[in-house]
Amino acid sequence: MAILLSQTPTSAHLSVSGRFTFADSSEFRKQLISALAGSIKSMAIDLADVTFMDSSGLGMLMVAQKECQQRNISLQLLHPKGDVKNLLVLTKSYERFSIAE
Amino acid sequence: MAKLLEQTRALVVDDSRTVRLFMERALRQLGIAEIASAVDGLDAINKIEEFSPTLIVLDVDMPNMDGLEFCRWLRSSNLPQRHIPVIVMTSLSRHDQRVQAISFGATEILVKPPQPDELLATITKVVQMHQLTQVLAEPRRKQHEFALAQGFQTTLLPSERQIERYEQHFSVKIDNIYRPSEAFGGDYWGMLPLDEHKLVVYLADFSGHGMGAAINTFRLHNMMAQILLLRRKPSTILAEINATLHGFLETGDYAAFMLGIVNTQTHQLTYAAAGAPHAMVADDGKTMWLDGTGSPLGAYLDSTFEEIVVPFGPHASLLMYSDGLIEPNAHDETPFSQDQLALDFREWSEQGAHYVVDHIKQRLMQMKTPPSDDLTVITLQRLG
Repeated sequence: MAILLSQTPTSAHLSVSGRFTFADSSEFRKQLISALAGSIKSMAIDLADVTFMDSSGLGMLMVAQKECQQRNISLQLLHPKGDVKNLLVLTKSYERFSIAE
Repeated sequence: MAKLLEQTRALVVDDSRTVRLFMERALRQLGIAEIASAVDGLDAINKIEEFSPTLIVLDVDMPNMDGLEFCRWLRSSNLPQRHIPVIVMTSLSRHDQRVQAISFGATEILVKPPQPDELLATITKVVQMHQLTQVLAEPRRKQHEFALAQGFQTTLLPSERQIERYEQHFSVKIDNIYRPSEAFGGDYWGMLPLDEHKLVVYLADFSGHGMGAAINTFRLHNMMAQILLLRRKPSTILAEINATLHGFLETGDYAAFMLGIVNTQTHQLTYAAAGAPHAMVADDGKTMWLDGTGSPLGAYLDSTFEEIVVPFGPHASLLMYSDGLIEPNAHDETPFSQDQLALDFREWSEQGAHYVVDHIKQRLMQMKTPPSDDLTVITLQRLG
């Protein structure tokens, strides 16, 4: 997994690429904390280049969701494809997250 | 085990002096030396600080503070003892109390008065389970404790003897593969007869792997038998597990889950799912998907679950599996695509369900590197 964080004063954009799995939990959390550090109003997590996401990957999205809810930050997931999209459908995550194709 | 009981400090809470004396004597006979008693919930609160119990045996109907209130108070307290096992005693007629006790965090329920062998079995189980959960949660773990826990995890799964018994009683053939990717796994499966004609089969896959996920399988195992006593419909069983897991899982931890009830009288399979891979039924030359879509268990408190009924004739086969079977490993090797699995299952199940497991094992051996995820496969075939 590689993760790239870009920020403006009011928003954070996290681009995740490669395999997004159990092995990446601590790196993702680290980047999430940096992303939350400012006084942002919105966060986007771009999944376009994620080739595979396992249950822990989805778990990390749930962590981001909770952290954002607690801070009144709106969270959007962007461009899930293939297996990533399938997992979001299988787990009814479309009812829980705002997801843009 | 004897040593574990010797080290146990039991607190008996009951307003009846006769019951207290009876329980104290029974516990002493099991080898527990340190025993204290309290007359109601309020008294028990004081005794916890004074006596520092490692096990509580609790009556429900008591003045001042009853057993259910006490249980709820303990579980939401900040005391170091808040996680210790609590065995709640109710009378046979009070179904409502048993339901409440479980939702307030009781570890086990016993009907009053308990038989000595039942008491021993229950206490042994909760004490052992509690010790393991603690050992595993410690940051520094010793080799032999690993081995102990590893052996223990496989004892949570149905034993060969149990499986043989179910096979005979329900006239079915059951095969399985259970392969943790590390020393421990986050997969867990089980089966239990609900009555003469109904057999429940379930498969859980906790997010993450290794120790953390394994502890969650212990916890789920601990609640499964109780929940199946209280809830008989797949949708309500899943709702109950969801609520309980949500109470203690960290954010981001959850279980993908599927549960089916095979009814050999109505020739039907009723199932409910929570984000599990789609299972399959082969019946009469046709294969059918069992939709695994659903909100994962423990993730959100307000999730609801649907149940679906499908025909499951006298020669039907069921295939359930965890996602390790269809996901690419770290070297991008996938044991099966889901569509390929469906095609193979149709073909293999005509030769008999155990061929399915054999073929899957062969495929796994052909992989250059083993699956990175825990992997479980269960097949059940009716033999007419």
